[in-house]
Amino acid sequence: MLLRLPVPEANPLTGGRFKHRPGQFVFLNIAAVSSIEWHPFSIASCDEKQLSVYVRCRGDWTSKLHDVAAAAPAAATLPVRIEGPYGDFGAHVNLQGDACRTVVMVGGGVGVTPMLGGAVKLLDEWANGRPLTRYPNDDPM
Amino acid sequence: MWCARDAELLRSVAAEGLLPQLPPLPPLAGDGGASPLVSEVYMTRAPSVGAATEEVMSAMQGSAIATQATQAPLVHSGRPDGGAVLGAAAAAAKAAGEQRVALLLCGLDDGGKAWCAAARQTEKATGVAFDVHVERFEL
Repeated sequence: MLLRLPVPEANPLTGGRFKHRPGQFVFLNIAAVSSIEWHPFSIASCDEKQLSVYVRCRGDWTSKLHDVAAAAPAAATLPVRIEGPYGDFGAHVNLQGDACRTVVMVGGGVGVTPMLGGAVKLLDEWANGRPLTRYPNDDPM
Repeated sequence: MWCARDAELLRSVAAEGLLPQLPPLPPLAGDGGASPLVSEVYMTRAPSVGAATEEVMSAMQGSAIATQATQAPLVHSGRPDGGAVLGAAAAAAKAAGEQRVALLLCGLDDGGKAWCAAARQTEKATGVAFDVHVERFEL
């Protein structure tokens, strides 16, 4: 299940802008599922106006979310509270710098979602001049 | 590198429109392609590469991955050999004059322990350092 969430224009408490990057994660609270539970999800993709998270039905909360979404009318919207974003996918392995020209990403199952965002970001940086080594070729590009 | 038990998840991700956000996958290694990205899919329960390829193609019809699914080494059956993968990555880095490789892990059954162990062994064997990042989520 893919959730496409509009990016909050500003934090209602601090007034700060919601700044997010692919590969970070957010906690979601959906009152229609549970008013007290918050669950973490990787940001699979995002732009300035929308972020997407991929939800796999593996437990009570995600299964109930699936049921709620399936039962809702097509044009219905679901209030969602977002906490975060947190994390900095790959920051401490210099994903955002140029120290590592060779990057190996391994995603298991739904764990591919932060990799998708990370891969897009790396390719974007590469298109703007970041050198990367093509695996398993040995020529830096 | 994407490891999945079966085609269900691939089908879901493709159907939900996540994959098109990746730029068209580049030609595979050895063909002189311009992009540095090489994608591989491992179908961990598929009995053969043929079966794995069939699963991927049926799940991701129309995607760039499906288009290239018949071209080795994009699709594999079973689990990846972490030591071999990281050894090749270390060799690629070394040949390029680099001494570090970034290794990003998420969603693996053992929390990435096997890959971390493979990274340590490869580091000892090659002298190339691995900067490892592991994403772990408690359900």
